[in-house]
Amino acid sequence: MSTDHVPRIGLRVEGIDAAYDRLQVLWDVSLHVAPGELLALVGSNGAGKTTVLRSVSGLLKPVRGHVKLGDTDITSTSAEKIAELGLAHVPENRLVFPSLSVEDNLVLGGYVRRKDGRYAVRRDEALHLFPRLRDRINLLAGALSGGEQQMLAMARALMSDPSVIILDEPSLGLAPKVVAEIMTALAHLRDEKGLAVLLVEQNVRAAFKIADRVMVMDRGRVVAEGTPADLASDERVRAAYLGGSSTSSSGVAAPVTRSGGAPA
Amino acid sequence: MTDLLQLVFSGLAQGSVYGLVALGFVAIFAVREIVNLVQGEYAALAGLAAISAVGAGLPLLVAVLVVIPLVIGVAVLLERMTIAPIKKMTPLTSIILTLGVSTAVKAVMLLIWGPEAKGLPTFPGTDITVGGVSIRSQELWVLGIAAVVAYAVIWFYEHTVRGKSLRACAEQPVAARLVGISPRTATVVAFAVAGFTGAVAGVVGSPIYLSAWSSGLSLGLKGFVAATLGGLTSLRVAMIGGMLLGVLENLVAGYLSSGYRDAVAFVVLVLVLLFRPHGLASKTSAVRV
Repeated sequence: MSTDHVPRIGLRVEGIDAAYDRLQVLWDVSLHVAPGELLALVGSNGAGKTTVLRSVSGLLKPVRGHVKLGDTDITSTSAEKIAELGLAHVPENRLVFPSLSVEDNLVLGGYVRRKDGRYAVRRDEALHLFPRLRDRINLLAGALSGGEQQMLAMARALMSDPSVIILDEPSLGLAPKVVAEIMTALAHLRDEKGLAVLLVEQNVRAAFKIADRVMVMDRGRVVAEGTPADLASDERVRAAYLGGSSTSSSGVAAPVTRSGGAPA
Repeated sequence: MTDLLQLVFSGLAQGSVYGLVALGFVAIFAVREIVNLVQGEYAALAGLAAISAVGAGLPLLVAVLVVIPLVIGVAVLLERMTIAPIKKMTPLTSIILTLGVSTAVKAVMLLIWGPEAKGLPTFPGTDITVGGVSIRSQELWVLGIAAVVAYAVIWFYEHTVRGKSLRACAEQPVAARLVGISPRTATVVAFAVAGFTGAVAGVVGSPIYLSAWSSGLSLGLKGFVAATLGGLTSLRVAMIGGMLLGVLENLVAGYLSSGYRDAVAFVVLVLVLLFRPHGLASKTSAVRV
């Protein structure tokens, strides 16, 4: 499957409830991300952001509602099959394969496309996006720094040539400079490759800078949605989820334009 | 000196059978953290089935080539029936479960083949004597085939995409699923590999060490001990550990008393668990924190 020929598809979540055993953690969550769009999902710890991603990628089966990848209903599809259908999930804490080399991590990232003979092409694209990995290609993934592991996790996800990529806190624990690199890469994927990007972030400032739209979650529900500019000027949202008024003057309210957010 | 060499050589041959069984333990544990106590039964089953096949008139080579896939099939089938349905598998659950399965398999073998130990005809070749050490041609077969199989299994796990996907499953099960690796398929493949090494151990070992319904018990134990030397996760250490165990057993039997032979494995097991519970080369345990 060539990136040039596959019509890009988006993601749609329709009114899902989700539960761990009998503990319900999501109520009636709906969202959609179009190809070439980046939706940021923010909210405090325990708001259910990770659970939304787990429900989308098939790690958790929602108890109600539907998840659609393009026109395909994937609500009851296994995680392995969903990966093959073109959705890549970059999980919380990266979860690289530590005792395998960077190269082998990429090889396994392309596991579902292992027979299409385009490994070298995708590997080149991924390493072009994260040049630092090129120098470390033969190192064990476990020997990489946190930032490099995050880049590897993203590169691994891209090796399956996804249409939709969902990321769980890629900036967690990383230096601002690395966070900027990662956000730049995300903007590139959205703008140049036309991917639909669903980004869960605690780093609200970074998320607001890059997102086309933002959804705010609280205790398992979506409580606000809009453009970064709309939400940043909403007193209620700002006070509750954006760390109070102290952030108001420091850039949250100044989202970068789409082209501006994506230096080549 | 000749005695020593003789004991070492036959120990290496015997030990490579343990090593093959040990590879099976690691092939599964490295993927799913399941201790598969049916491992020794694969070897016993392969030996007995091959003896029957030869008895039914099949040429030895054909019998072996029929029996190995058969045992692989049995290994996979037993996994589907007994391991797959368990939702939350822990190493302890797996030990209890597979102990039950191995007992059932032994009982079935006893019903089919009766209590006597039998041997497969030796593979073609003539015994030779080198510098006073007598070398049975079957021992050369055992050593050669074990080396090829061990090399193939290690190569599979380290150099093929499929093999790497099995290791990924063990390291990061969630991330493995997210890149599209099915844990179900990985488990089936791991059991197939274990069935393969067990079956090979059974057919190459049968002409010398005989096969009986119960021979899986001691073979399984010794394979397990060899596998623990590598923390149940290193194929190389498991294979070499098996061979060392075979040599050690032979030396103890030769210089002390043959009555102590079977105690060697237990002593080694206790020592490993006391002093190196993560295996002799426990540096690699950084993999699974």
